[in-house]
Amino acid sequence: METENILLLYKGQVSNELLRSLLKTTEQKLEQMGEKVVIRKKIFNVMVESIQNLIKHVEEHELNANSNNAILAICHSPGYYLVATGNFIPTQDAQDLSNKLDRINGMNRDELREYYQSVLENESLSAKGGAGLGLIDIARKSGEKVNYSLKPINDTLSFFTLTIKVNSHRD
Amino acid sequence: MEKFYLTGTDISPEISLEQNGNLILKGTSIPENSEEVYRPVLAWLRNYASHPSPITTLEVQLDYFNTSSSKFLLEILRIIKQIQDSNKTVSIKWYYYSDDPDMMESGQDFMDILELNMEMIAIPEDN
Repeated sequence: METENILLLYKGQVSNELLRSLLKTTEQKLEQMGEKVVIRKKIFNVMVESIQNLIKHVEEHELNANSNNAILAICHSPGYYLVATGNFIPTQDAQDLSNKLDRINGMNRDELREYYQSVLENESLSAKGGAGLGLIDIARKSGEKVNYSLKPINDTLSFFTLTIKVNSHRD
Repeated sequence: MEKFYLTGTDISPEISLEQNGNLILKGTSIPENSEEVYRPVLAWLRNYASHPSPITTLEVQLDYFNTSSSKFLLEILRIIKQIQDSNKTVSIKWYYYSDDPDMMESGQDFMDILELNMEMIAIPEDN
C-alpha cells in the first residue's frame, strides 16, 4: 500500500522569521530520517525560493493583510518528496506567471541551464524582482516538471499553487 | 585597508576579506534582502580591486545559496576577474560536497557566464 507521510504542514502568514523556523524544523525531520544532504537542499530550495518570492510579491504590490497567507506542505512518499505551496497573487500577474512556467516546463536540462545563466547575467543588480530566476532554479534542481495551478478568486486576486517533486533515490 | 569580517548566521555566510588577498565566503546565504549583506562586501572589493595584493585567493565554501544571493556572487566574481585581467595572480577555489552536484553546477554556471577559471574542489560527503 502506498504510504504518504506529511512532514510539514503550515497555513498562515509568512515572513522571513517564519521561513527560518520552518527550515529548521524541516532540516531536523529530514536529518532524523537520515536523508541525504543534497535532497535536503533541494527541498530547502523550493521552500526558500517560493516563500521569498511570495514575501517580495506582497511587499511590491502592497497586497492587503490577508493576502500574505500561504500554505506550505511537504509530503514524503517512497522514493520522493512533494513540496507544495499555495498563495495569492494579483490576477494581473497570473498570465505572465503562467507563461513563464509553461516556458520553463517546455525546456530540457540544457535549455534550463542556458536560460538560468542568461537571466542571471542580464538581470541588473538594482532590480528587486527575481525575474523568475527562483522558478528556473527550482525546476532545474528538482529535475521534474513544475506542477502548478492558478485560480481566480475575485477581480484582483488569484490563488497560485506550485507542487514540486524531489526524487530521493532511496527507500 | 581595514579587514572586513562578517560573522556567519543560519541565513548569511561568514565573510572574511583581507588586504593581503585572502578572501573567504563560507556557510549559507539565504537572506531575503541579499543587498543588505552584499553591498558592503562589493564596496570593499571594488576598493581592493583598485590596489590589489599581488596574489589574490578567493575561497567560496557555501553549503547553499538562494537566487537572490547568486546575483551578488556573480558580481563578486566579476570583480575578481577584473583583478585577474589586470595581470595579477588570482586563484578562485569553489568547494562543494562530493554528493552535491547542484553546488558544483552552480560553480560551473559562474564560470560559463564570466568565462572564468575556478578550481573545483570536492569535499568528501558529510553523511
